[in-house]
Amino acid sequence: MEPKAHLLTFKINLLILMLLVSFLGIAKPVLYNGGSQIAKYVEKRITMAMVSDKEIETVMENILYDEVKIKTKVPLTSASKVEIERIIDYVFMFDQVLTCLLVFSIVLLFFSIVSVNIKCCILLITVLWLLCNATAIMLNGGKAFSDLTVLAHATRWGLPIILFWNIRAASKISNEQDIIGVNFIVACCSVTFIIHGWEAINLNPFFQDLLYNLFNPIGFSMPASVNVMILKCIGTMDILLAVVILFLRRPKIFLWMSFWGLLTALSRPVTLGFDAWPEAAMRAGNFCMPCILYFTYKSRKISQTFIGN
Amino acid sequence: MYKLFKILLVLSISFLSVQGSIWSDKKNEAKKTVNTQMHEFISSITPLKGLAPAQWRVIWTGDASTEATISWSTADKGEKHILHYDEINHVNKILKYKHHMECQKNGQFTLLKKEIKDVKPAFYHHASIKDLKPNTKYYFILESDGHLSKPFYFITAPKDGTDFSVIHGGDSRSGHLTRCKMNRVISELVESNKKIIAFIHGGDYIVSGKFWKQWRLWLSHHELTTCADGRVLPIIPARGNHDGGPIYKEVFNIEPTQPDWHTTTIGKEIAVVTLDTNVSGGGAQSQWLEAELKRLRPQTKWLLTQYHRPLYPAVKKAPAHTKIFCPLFDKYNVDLACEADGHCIKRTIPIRAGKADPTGVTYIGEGGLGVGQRKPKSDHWYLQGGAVGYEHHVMVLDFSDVDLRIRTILMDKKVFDDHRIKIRN
Repeated sequence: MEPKAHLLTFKINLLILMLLVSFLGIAKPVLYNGGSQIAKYVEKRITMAMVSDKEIETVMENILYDEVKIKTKVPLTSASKVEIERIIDYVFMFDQVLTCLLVFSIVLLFFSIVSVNIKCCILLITVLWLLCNATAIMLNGGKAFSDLTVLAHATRWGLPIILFWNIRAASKISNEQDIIGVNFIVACCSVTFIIHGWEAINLNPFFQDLLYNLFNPIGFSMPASVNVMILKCIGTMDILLAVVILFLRRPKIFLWMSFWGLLTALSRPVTLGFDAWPEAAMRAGNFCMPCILYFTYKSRKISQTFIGN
Repeated sequence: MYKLFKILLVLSISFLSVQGSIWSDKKNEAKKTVNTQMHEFISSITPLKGLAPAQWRVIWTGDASTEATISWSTADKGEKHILHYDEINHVNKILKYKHHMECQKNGQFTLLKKEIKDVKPAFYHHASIKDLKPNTKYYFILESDGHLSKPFYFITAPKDGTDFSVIHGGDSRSGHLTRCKMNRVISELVESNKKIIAFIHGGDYIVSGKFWKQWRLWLSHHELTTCADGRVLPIIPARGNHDGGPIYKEVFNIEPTQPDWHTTTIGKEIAVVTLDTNVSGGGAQSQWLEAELKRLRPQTKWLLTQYHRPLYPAVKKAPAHTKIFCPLFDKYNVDLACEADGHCIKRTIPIRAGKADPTGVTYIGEGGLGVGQRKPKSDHWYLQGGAVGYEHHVMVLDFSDVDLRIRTILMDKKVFDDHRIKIRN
């Protein structure tokens, strides 16, 4: 096998493995902790629709606040608890079935017997699902910085996109195509690091508690000022890294980003206990994507044929 | 392989469309008019128009025996907003009331830019009163530029003793009609049990806390907790994860720079420590919590905490706060932790250091004041021997010198769970 093809196969397999790990992390809460964010959003909308929340709100606003929005009476209906429950059960059942199917489909990506077209379809559905899930987190709200979720998850939904790109390109790779692919990974990493850095600088409460919980078991009660200082430093570093890789692509920078992504992902199960392993797994993209960049740019030194000049 | 994928795709689409049609059919089948019910509720609510005092509330965030904040809203700004209060009921003869207090704080509820066009502004008025007599009925009437409210009253907490009850509930963010029904249930419970003196709300009043449009409806619906004889049940608020933004503080008279954690002492022997699970549990909050628990534990018979996100959840995953708050609860022997957020009924077994322990803390919740209920995961170890369910509910906490009775009351006022915690030695 040519070095170029060999590297590409390695990269594809690594990406599939990371996508599987990441998706397993996402699937666990879907199957055991109340469903995906998409299902939760759908549940909320269905429940509100079935009890005519919007119509009731309009009528009440009309009468209580003198805001004439409707001229005629809106016919109101309210479904019973059992009926709502039945529909919601279907939603969550469908959510679980779909998630299991996606996990199964991602496993299929390892097999060369599966055609490129099917693999690409699987990946597109996965991207769509991940994007919808991130959007649903945003729409569901109730979490600090939830408005930034789609961007913060760039390495999660970017992973299947780059895999799609590589699988499509596997048979007929050109330098131009690969350069676009590499730039896409860089963009995903950069966006994810910028958003996480921004959240750290703005003292995301969850990040703060991660730090407190990291040191509490060893009896060190971290002063709030130290916590703030560390987070600001981390945030600045993340943003700097995100900006630097847009202009200066050095393997060592990507190696550090990969290590940092791994460390921050692992900090969840380390501080919250092993039950939080899906939190680390679903962040596989955060260390996998910079890792791919590391190998890409490292191999560039060895073999100019891989991504070209 | 391609065929298999096509079959799977067709199956998924058929499944979706079948579910869609079932939903639509069921929705049609389930149609029943709720107009009458809704209009009955509307007729009991004061419209927020002009300077008519509406959306009244009594807030307890300090010493409930001697202090309270009485707040209301008006649609117009007005000039002078006065609270008239006395221990004697003078109905609407305002000059006869002994005390006349001009509101210390007035202002406009924050409107989002996108609301300005469609939503009318409204104004809050807060009168914080102090030096009240414990266990005393205080009659009051609200006045905004000559416009008077109905006469109301509330009862201050007793100075000592434990012979009273409080209601705990949370999550009233959606299900408007159910929210109104649950508020009615609360007022009926208070009418039938005069010992109930406060309402602990665990947060998630509305879907998105930045929208005045949503808060105003919650505030109007909150009027329904008022008893037929004008009794207003003081509320002890906690901020939920959907209550972000400045309006929460405007509604509950909390200074913009002040954190959302506070202690409400109900006499000498009961304290409710309210925490905020929307911000970091460590640092300033955990230091404050430890100091409060250390101060309160020796003198109080019943030490309660309340906050939004459950530390031992029945539906969701545990937050990072669990590792910070729980060791402090254990260290200072908190008796009961009141939680919300999960949209279900939950009572855990007593827990200490993450294990079942008869001397541990009992965690109850998780919100059923209107929002759609979720099925709890009853297989959690801490729920084995506890109670779980998914019905709209409130929890009535009956205090005494020997035990704390926790009753979960459903919308039809049936008792779902009745449990007692013995007092610590």
